[in-house]
Amino acid sequence: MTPLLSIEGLTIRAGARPLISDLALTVEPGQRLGLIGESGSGKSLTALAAIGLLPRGLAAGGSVRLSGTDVLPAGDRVLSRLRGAVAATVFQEPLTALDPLMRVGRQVGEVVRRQAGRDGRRIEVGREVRGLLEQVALEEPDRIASAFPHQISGGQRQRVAIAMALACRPQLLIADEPTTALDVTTQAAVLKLLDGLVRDRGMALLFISHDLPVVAGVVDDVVVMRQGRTVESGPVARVFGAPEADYTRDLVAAARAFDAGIEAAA
Amino acid sequence: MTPVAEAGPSRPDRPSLTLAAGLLLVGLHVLVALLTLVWTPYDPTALAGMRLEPPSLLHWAGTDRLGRDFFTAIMIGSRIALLVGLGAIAIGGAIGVILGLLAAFAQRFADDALAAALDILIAFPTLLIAMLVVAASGASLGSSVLALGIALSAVVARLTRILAKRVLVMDFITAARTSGATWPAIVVEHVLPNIWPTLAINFALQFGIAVVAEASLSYLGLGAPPPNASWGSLLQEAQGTVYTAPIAAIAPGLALVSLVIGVNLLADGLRDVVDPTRRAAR
Repeated sequence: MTPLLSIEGLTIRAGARPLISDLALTVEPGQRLGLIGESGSGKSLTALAAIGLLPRGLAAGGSVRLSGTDVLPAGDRVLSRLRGAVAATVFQEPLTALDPLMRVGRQVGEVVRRQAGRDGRRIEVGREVRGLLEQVALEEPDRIASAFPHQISGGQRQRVAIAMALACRPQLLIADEPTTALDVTTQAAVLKLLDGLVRDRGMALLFISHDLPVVAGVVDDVVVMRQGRTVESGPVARVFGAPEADYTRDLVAAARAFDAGIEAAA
Repeated sequence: MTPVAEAGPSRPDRPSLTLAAGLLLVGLHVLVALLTLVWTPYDPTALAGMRLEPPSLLHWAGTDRLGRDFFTAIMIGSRIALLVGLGAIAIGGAIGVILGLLAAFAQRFADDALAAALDILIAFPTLLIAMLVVAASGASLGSSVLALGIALSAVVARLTRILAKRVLVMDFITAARTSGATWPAIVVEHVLPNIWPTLAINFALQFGIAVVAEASLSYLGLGAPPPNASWGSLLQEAQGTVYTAPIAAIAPGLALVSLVIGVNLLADGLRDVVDPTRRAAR
């Protein structure tokens, strides 16, 4: 079977400075892969590279295959067909991920309409939007749909962003720190939602985070990155249970110390 | 959210006095301009009285040095001014927005070249560019509108470029790209709506600038010939008789000032109306 996402020997440079060096990872259909590392380790850049959206001025080498198509040399015409259909993305900051001047319902509707046009389906946009907002467990979907992004809460905005990703009916969901900008209780709720949606729809998941316990809760396999390089990879239980690399060991120890601190305080 | 937006969420709740005053002044000029299409107090070309009569009940702004009713000329001036403003904005806006969007998408060398070209164009005074165009195409209302439109397009293009660039780096653009939207769709769905509030206000301000610039062109003798005289031409004519008949200089000046102030007030008031993030949260 063709992997949904297959990255081999990916190297990205800004001028002479390497941002990502020789990265390799594969996401099979239905697989849940976590990408973990500190800020600046190249996680988000990897997510952008995966869908052919590298910022201008960066030079990329190696290969990134999305459902078998090499995205690095591909043009917009090819890519806009792959994006959404194969992979959709949820970003870290829910406020800037929504157009501030467009009502929520219309924003979700635009995606719905675009995907329906692509698939040649005839649909009732309003009903589809409402259904999507219900699927991401938003109460009062009608009120949310007629609100502007600044009129709803951060957690609600992130749910809307997830609804927009779902509207693409992707085979792979790329979640780039989807809970980092949320408070802890909202984080847990959004994670549970993502977990359930991915399971129900049989989607593959590329989950990017710096937060080790969060990653461990939702994925099967994990790749640990540091300064643009893969430090260690494998099944979650093995990597976090018996880390081989020093950096992974530090991460695990830090997370344990943090938990212990909380328990001691309680 | 910016501190500015947080400081004034309650302001747009009551009807804006600025907007009302702007609408009143501009509306008055629009009404007068429409009225002149069907009726004027006197025939603008006919000799309606003695030469240089002072204001009276028959001639509200007196008569000019040929004896034509001056209030009629002022009223027709409203129509000319509005046509000039709208025409210049239509031309300047269309050229400017298209150029600005192209510049926003241009990369590396093309971006630098376009930005430099716009900066050089803006460094030339609007009036100077307009004079060049008029000198090349002959003095008429059409050529001064075209000239002002071209001169204003550089300002609009630079603003559009900066605004569009700022929108293009936002996450929601990347999000739209990841869901498979093409660039033309993104421009129509996201970029234009996001830069529109600022552009609209700028258009209103440029409208005022265009009206003043046309008055200056006319004052220099490069504007529309009579009987479609603009306020600038009236001012120029009044120059010789400013001590004997000051009303001929004061009246077109007041008309010009009231329209430009009105447009600026309108621009200010519009800002709160066109930007939904400035409306109160529910």
